[in-house]
Amino acid sequence: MTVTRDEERAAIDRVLQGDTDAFEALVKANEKGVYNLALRMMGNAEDALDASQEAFFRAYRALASFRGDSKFSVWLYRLASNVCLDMLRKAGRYQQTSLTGEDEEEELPIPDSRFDPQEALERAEVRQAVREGLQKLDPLFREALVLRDVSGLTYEEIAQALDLELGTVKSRIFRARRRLAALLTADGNFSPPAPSNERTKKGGGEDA
Amino acid sequence: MRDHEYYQELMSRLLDEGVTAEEEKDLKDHLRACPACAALFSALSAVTVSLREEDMADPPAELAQGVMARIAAEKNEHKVIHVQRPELEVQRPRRKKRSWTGIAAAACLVVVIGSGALWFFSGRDKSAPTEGAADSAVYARAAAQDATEAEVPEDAGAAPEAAPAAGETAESALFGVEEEAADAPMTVAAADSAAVPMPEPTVTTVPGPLTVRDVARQKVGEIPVEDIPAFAAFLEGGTVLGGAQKDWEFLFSVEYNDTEVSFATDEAESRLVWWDSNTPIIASPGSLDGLRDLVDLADSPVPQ
Repeated sequence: MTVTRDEERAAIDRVLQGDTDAFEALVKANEKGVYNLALRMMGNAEDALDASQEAFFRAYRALASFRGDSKFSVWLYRLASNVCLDMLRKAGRYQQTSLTGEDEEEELPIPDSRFDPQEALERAEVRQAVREGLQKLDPLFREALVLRDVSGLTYEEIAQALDLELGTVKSRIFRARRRLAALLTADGNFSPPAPSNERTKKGGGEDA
Repeated sequence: MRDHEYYQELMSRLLDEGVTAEEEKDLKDHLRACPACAALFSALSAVTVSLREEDMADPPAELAQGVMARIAAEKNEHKVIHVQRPELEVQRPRRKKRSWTGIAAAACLVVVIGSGALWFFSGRDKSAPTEGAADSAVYARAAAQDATEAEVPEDAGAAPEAAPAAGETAESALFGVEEEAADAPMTVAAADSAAVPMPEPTVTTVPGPLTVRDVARQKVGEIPVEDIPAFAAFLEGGTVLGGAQKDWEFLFSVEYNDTEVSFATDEAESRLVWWDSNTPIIASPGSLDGLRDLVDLADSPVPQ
């Protein structure tokens, strides 16, 4: 379900005036994005459902503080992301590593450049491996990467949502990807496909 | 020769935002010359594509249902809190100087609460009366303030000039009586017998000085007390409060707009219930200071 920004604003205003039923339209329009963000952050459907509901509920309570400076969805993703980090923290699944990244260079195995198509895993298997690898990332790295590659936010939107410098966002995303690539290689789950000269665009990707 | 960091930054931008033709050529040249960077780029691309290609899962239907149910539950909680609030905003009459102005204030107090009751049930096709009641509540508050200030001359200067007129407006609007403001206390409790048919003239059988409360007690038989536990269960989320029915003590009732508003408390005085017609409302602890004032005032002698 998609709504225009005007419809979104109108629904928000109705909710603020006491018409709580109008909130349902806002939930419906954004639940897929929020749920999938939570799913990648939490790693399982049950926690993702809890986190999504909590995020929407917090959004309902804090709705008056939404000024429309950002997209409503970006505002929601910020809430959802915070809920996920809270839940991970409470569950003791929040093992934060150094975010300075200074120690990364030495521990990062560079993927093997000899690529043999015969050994390449099926795409589905790669996906599975990426999914699992994602859960091994530092939650703050994961957060930035998921907002970019799952939620489809721009660097600027992520910087706004997470209240970070643009440079920090770029750095976290790059490091998250590099670490993920390294994790997969180290696990032996993953042989990188041949370097491609084609650009990899969002949503595209039959080129790998 | 640029360093690896530069090319890594370029790889990231290529994946996310695009690069200029010149930058792309630069990167390609480097990847041909540097197997490590080429391997890294292919890995980064694969990871990124894999994440983006993954189908978005459909959220379960219970996501939205759960959110809306929780919001509805919270809204109900807030309703009860809102119902209590008007009472807390009203200035209490000075108890040492209890007088007719005090009773008038009590009448307003009751009316304010009653307005809350109507507001609470505004969803039940009562939009018009609710609007009127809300306006009246504002007037009634002004009248209550006026009543209090009338007893305390040093505060009188602060009284809004419009308040006496507002008080009259409120009382005639709320009680449906056209008498002068001096008659307003007559509207407290069952004393307004002209508008309400009393069940029996049993008033004379009550020993001692007749109080508003006594008169109100005469009417308790008319009140569907059986309705209270069910409503309590509704408000408490499905738990019937133990012994609610037998433990409710009727206090008194007042009348406005052809509607009788009645009050009762539970044995421990931990909860106050009031209802108009067949719609009782339970209030939680917190409103009991006001309740005691009301009870005191209800024990005042009935005006002759």
